[in-house]
This record gives sequence, C-alpha cells and structure tokens, in this order.
Amino acid sequence: MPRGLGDIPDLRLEVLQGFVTKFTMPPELLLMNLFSAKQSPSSTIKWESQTGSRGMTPFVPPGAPAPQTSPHGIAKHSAEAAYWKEKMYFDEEFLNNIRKEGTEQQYLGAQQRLARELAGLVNRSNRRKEWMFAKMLCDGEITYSARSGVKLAVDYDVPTSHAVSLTTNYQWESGTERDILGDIITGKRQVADDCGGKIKYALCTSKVLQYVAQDPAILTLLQKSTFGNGDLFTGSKHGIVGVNPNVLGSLLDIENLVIYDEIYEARSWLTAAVTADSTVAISVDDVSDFEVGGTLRFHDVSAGTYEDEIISAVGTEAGTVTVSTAPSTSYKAGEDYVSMKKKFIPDDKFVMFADKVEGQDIAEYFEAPYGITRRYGLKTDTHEEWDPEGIFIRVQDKGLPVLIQRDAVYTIDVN
Amino acid sequence: MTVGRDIPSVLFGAQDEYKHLYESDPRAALKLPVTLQSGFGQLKMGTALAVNTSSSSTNYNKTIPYDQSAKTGAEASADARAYIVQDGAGTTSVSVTIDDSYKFIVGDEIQAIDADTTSADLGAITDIDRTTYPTRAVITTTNALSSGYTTANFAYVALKGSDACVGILEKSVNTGTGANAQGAIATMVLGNAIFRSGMLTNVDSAARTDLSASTYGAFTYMK
Repeated sequence: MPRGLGDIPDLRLEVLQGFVTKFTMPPELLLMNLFSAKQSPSSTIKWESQTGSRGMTPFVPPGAPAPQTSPHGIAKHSAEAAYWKEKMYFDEEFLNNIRKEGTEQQYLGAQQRLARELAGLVNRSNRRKEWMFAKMLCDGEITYSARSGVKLAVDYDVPTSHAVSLTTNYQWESGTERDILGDIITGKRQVADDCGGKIKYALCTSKVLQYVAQDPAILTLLQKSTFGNGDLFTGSKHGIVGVNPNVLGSLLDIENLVIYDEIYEARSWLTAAVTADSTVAISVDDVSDFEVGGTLRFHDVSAGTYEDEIISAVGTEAGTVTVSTAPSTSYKAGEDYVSMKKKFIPDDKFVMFADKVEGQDIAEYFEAPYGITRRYGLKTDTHEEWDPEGIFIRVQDKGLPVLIQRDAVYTIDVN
Repeated sequence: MTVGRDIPSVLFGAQDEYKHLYESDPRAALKLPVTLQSGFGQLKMGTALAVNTSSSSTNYNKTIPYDQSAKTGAEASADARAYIVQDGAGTTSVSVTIDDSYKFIVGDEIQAIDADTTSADLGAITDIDRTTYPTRAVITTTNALSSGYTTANFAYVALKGSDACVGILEKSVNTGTGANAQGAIATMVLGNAIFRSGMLTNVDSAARTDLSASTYGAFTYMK
C-alpha cells in the first residue's frame, strides 16, 4: 500500500510556477532627454560664444569729444564626439533549443529572444549616454578607462567656484554648523552673478533629500506657524523618503527639485582567487566603470551570498580593483564575480543648474555621424552568418553632451 | 529538477551567467571539430583542452580537459583529475570516487600526480571495478601506485596527455558524469584569436607556452 511520497522521486509533481526578474525593466532616464539634440556634420563639433558686459557710458565735459569704446569679440570652442557600441552573437544551436524561462515546455522563439536582448542592448547604450550627461553635470568631466586600453577624458572646465565641497562642520548630514538653505542660496546667487541664469533644476538622490527633509532649520521654516503650510509630508510624496519634494522646491524657489535614484551597474568576473581577510587587490576581467569610492559587491555564486567593500583604487593596466578592507570570505576565480552599482547622481551631490541663459540652452547633445550611411543617433542592426548559421545583434551611437554655459551649473558636495 | 525534500524549506538557486569568450572576430579564429571524452561533466566555454595520448585505448586522440600546473588541491577547476580516496600502497590498485572512475576506460594510460612528488606513470588501465565497494571504484593499473601518493597530499590520477594543452574549447558542452556519460562533440580553437582572459579556464602559463599564446592586459591571444 503506497503511503507518502519518498519512493519514486521522478513521480513527484513539481511545477514551475513563475519567472521572477530583477533589474530587467527599461530604465527611466532623465538627463539624456532634458537637453535638445543637434546633428553635427562631423565628429568634430565647433561652436562659438560671446560674453557681453554690463558696461556704462562715461561722463564727459560738454564740448569734449566722446571717448572711444570697442565691440566685443568672440571665442571659439570645439569638441570631439564619443563613439560607443557593442554586439552579441547567437548561434543556431542556442536559438533553436532554448526553453522559455518560467515555463516547463515552451520554446522561447528566436525572434522573441533576439528582440529582448536587443532591447537590453539599447538600454545599455542609453545608460552610457545618460552616464555622460550625469558626469558632465556632477563632476564637470568624463573619465573612462576600458580593459582594452581605451582611455577617455573630457573636461568641461567648470569654474572651481561652481563646484563646492563642504567642510565637515558644514556637511548636510550632521555638520554642527550646517546651513542647507544658505548653501543653496549661495549657489543660486553664484550662477546669477556669473552668467545671469536662474536656477531651474536641482537634482539629488533620495539620500540627500533625506538630509534636507530632516534638517531642523528647514523643518522649522515649513511649519504652519512660521512660513510654510505644514504640507511637507503630504501630496506627491517621494517613494523612499516620504516627503513632498515640491514643497522643498517651493521653499528653495527651485522650479524642479528632482529626486533621481536611477542606477547603473558594472560587473566583472574574478580572474584570480580572493583569499578571505587577505586579498585587497582584486583581479577582475574588466575594470571599466569601477570607481574609487564606489561599493564593490563580492558575489559567491555557489553559496548565493554577497558582501560589500569600498573601492580604494582602480588599476586599469593591472586589471585590478583594490578595496580598502579584504572581504571576509574567499572567492573563486572564473566562478564568482564582483559588481558595483552606482547612482547616476552620486549620493553626496546636490546639483543645480539653469536650463537656459539668455534664452539659449546651457547644454546640448551633439549627435555625430557614423557608419557608411552617415547615421545619426542610436542604431540597432543585425548581421546573419551563413555557415555556421548564427546572428549578431548590435547597438551603436555617437555623440557628446556639451556644456555650452560652464557657469550655469553649481554642484555642492554635501557629505 | 527533482528537489526531493520532505521537510518544509526554501531553496534559492544561483544565477549562472553566459560567458563572452572572444574579443576578436570569432569568424577569424582557426578552429577544428573535436570529440570530448566522456565523464568530465560540464565543460565551460574557454576551458583549456588536452588530448588523450593513450595509444592503445579506444579513447586515443579524444580531447580531454587540460590539467593545470598548480597542484595544491585547492584548484577550483580540476576537471581533468580523479583524486585518490585511499593512499597508495605499492600495489596496482588505485581507488577514486565512482563518478570520477567514468573519466577512464580500460586501456587508458594514467599517471599519478601530487603537489610535491614527481608524476609516476601507472601505465594502461587493465580493469575498473565499480561494484565491490559502494563508496569507491578501484582501478587496476599496469604499474603500482607507490605509498608516497596520499590523500593528505591531494594525490590524483589523470590521463596521459592531460598535462599538454592543445587548444581552447569554443562552446560549453556537457560530457556527462557517471554511468550515463556520453562525451560531447564541440569545436576547439587552435589559433588566431584574442580571448578575454577572465573567460578562460585553466589557461595557465604552462598552457600558454604549449599554445604559443601570450597575454596583453586583460587579454590572452593566440597568433
């Protein structure tokens, strides 16, 4: 008489019930859509600028000849566009024999698979574009080193007075003399004094929003009994911090206080074993996009666990990411991997900028032509191999965000 | 997958990523179709391969995983090895796990290796007994396994030829494990390629010498 289940494991009914995904949705990218795009006829982009003055006509005695003055000149600027692309290959064996995830019996159609991977490549390309905008606004420069030897550095030459780093006592999280409102007003005045622009956008992450929303001085100001309406915690609230950024934007007189938490990820396989409590120079397959100050996450694939350490150095030539403290677990080469997730806007920056100065955009995205047919903008395509049968899918784009008004941006390193 | 548990529990699996091997154009690589000997389990794309040089075996000239030079016993990818489970006793009996015993057939020539003893040629396998003991298989060899080879020293046996790398496996294949292992057919890269070093398995400095390969930064290239 059969009782229980243990005898014949193959007869035990186990049904695949679903497919759970994480970080596969298309990103909500903000910056790459904020500024207008222009098509440049070549990869070298040129533009000119003129800085006027607020000069005044001098007094002269009656009967005297008028003193001579002179018109303003012109400045020439140029930039070279960046090019990024990648491809993925699938052979017929792979495409013909893949099960659809989350199902037990269904074949995942080749076209569906390719479309999904192509969408993923497009997301990756757009994140690179967004990353360039974020770097331009937050750091005033783009630096990039790839494992293959490609090194790239674009300096937007933002004046140092527009990139302020607060000293310990003035830092927003717990500085004893912190003055968040004062720092922001100083920034707004600096931009107005230097280029006549009015701050229209302020960007920060939810972490900085938390500092602002928990600041005693700002909380006092927003009370009903003083200046505000007591509505900081009502209305269109932020999903993580639970306060209404519009109320803060209104207090600060910034039209768009945007809380931007979108992230990008760099991931790389370990190429040498990591010994617990010992190895700090971590050899990886690809050091591109790992950054000093970022958090390196060690993934133990077989155990399904991870731990985090802070990156203290990145050695592009040696292919190493150095962490300040060795991880407490050992990791295997070729099996385990490391990753770094980072927000486009760093967790310690408050970025303000005027979108226009004298009616002109402060930044533009210049698309440059590439390919035999002089294409502009993001392009995806496929290439079929005849023997053995296979298909490449590819994404490419070329262009550069350019900061035309360098002094219309003001960044505060708040922590 | 039959999990087979009778106690309330939750299992979380780990994600196995696809590898990207080539940095150069895969179409330009020089490659040959090969047959992989059975019993070595799943071999990942980029694994260093060797050739079975046991001339009297029917496995002669089949490709097998290359055995890396490091022999500490802690190596993560030791597909080529069958670690002994009983110390050598100066007899022609070599005990390995039953699964590992399917890496060999009668006629294959094997050698004994450990971290600090010169490798010993055990000659051709004359018998493999997988039934006497439920815990191990006993391989009978032509030459005796000396008592210097011990489990404490991570001694193992490997096929003749496994210490000479001949190429790089181009795609992941499953050669099977245990009684039902069938081997696999695949393509092996012989040259004219740049690989991402991190995607290669067991391509150590001795393997690069065998392949006339070199490294540049994070890449390994074969001309």
